[in-house]
Amino acid sequence: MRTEAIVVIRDLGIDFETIDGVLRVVQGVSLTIGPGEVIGIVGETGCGKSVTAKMLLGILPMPPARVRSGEVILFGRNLFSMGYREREILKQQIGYIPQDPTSSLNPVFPIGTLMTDMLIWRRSGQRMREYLWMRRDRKRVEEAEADAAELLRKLYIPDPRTLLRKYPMELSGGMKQRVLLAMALSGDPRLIVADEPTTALDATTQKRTLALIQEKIHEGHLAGLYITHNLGVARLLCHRTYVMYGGTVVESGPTGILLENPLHPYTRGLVQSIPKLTGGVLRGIEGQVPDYLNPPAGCRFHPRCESRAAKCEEEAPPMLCQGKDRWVACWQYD
Amino acid sequence: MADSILLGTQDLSKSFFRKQRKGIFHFRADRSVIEAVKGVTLEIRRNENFAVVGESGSGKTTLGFLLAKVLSPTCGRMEFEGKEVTHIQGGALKDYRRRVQMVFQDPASSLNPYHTIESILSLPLRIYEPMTRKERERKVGELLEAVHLPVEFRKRKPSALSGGQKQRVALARALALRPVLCILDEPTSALDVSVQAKILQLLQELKDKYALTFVLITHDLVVVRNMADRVAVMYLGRIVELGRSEAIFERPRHPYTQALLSAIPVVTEEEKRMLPSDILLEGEIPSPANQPPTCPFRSRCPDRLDRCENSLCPDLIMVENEHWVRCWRIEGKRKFFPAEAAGRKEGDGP
Repeated sequence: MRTEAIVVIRDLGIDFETIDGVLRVVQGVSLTIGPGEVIGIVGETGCGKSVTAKMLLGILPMPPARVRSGEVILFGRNLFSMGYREREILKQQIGYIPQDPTSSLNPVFPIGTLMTDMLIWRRSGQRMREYLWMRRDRKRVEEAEADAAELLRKLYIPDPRTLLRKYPMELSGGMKQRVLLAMALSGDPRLIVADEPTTALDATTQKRTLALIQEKIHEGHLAGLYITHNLGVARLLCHRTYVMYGGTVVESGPTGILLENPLHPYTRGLVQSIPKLTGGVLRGIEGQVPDYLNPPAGCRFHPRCESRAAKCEEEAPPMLCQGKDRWVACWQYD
Repeated sequence: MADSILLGTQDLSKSFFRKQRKGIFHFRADRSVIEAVKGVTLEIRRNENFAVVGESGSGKTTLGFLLAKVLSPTCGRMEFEGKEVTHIQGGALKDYRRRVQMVFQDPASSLNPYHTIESILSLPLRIYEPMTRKERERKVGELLEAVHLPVEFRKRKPSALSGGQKQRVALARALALRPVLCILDEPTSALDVSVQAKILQLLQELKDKYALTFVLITHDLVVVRNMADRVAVMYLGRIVELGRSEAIFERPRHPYTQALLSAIPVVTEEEKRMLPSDILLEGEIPSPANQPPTCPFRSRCPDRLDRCENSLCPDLIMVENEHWVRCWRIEGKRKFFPAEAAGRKEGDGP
């Protein structure tokens, strides 16, 4: 195990070029993921959390999107300076669990075909010629099928052989999510990126799926990037949490401390908006998520902030250190 | 006591019958019965927040549709303000729908995208209340004001609104006819937390203003804890636990309720201590098709008995005042509704 950080993102800025103009979706995002550490990104819809993760995976459609600034260092290598081939190989070490299990599995093929295809593609060294050759080889396919069954068995799926014959339609949401988790874990990844994997699931299924993800991450000593809008889930799973608002990171810190004692006005508003079992008055946050076409100048949260000062409208606050591992982007703490 | 009951149901059930052919040469189609709601007996009191919780597939939305008379029950009785409404038609049904309104699950798909907010809000008024255009416009303005939306929104279309604003419009539409009972199907699950808090505040405010009774259908237990006076926990079409909100959250008795509570992802340490310890349920909610008449939860129950497999589904049993549980492990007095007994004598359904 190397001690250097698995992912370092420095001052990342992503623009989307549309007919209406340039949308500055992500601005100045910096984060690090150490080995064996699970990082959470929390934020509301449209805060740029999924865009950041997709950037990391290289699955962001690049003509509309454009990297304006910053660098991404993955496993000690700069992502933007490397070639396509090298990047594809590096990508194999990342497992991705997508948001919606229903739309992420091709409904036309049975689970077995989807899984063996992926395994064989990986084994062929991602070359189409070799892949097609190997796909026709019955022995290879059977081997891949056995491996797929083994992967599913590791996720406590009873009778994986029958599951391989089934179509995604025949499975429940939790089961589909487990198949996707198996696929994410198939390449012995060092990093798992999960984009709201449990949003579409029921509470009890969510609990089980989270327990499973947690167990696998712990077992393989993997690093994780967990994207969610549910602070409770982040609390359960993540060591450190980054709170995003309007494409910027507004606060970061160890999850427990961050939620017990939020510093940034946005995080405070978010924590106070969550209905609690202990009751109490819900606050909510006035106003709307910012428009990316012409985002508010200075701190992007200032139009909704209760404790804004003149400075907030002029200059965006930098990340200010507030104790061990605690960073907050707010002029209040200057 | 009895006169404060707004809406009562006795043994309300809804089954869907389905024939399924697998391929063209499959001559004898598979027949299955989906009992979405089975024998639900409950009463909703005036001015209370009654919550129905359960996972997807537990029949909670179907129950909401039955209460709003979007669907008609297969068997059972319903009483609204002391009058039987099980099979009402025509004018009586129209009147019922005026008194009982429903806010549907997804505000984005329950508002017609081609209509302006004004025409969406004035449609119920056109149907029910003869008034001049001027009056109607004034009424729409009042409605928008009641849900804290700017009056300029009347000319906009739903696509120009955010999720929270759409939910507000859906609420305004339901309130246009001043109903007494409002059935809210997942009012906050499509929304972000900061917006969700605002909608919950608004609901409380509207309830006080218009003296409404809410039936809240949701899977979010924390919202239930904050909003509801009484809670019914549903599993595969049956109510497995029914009681006051404090009783359900502090002293849950049914294993399913306990598992559901332990699965809440909580934010603070203090909340964590309030929940029962970790219970991981095996498997997922089974398909509601062709379920045997045993306890619906038997296949996933962490401490099941032989009796659960072999006997019929247990009755709701009263464990304390106004707290009923449907489980063989619990012993006590059977749930008894005077009205239910009367209904049984007449025979169930048509």
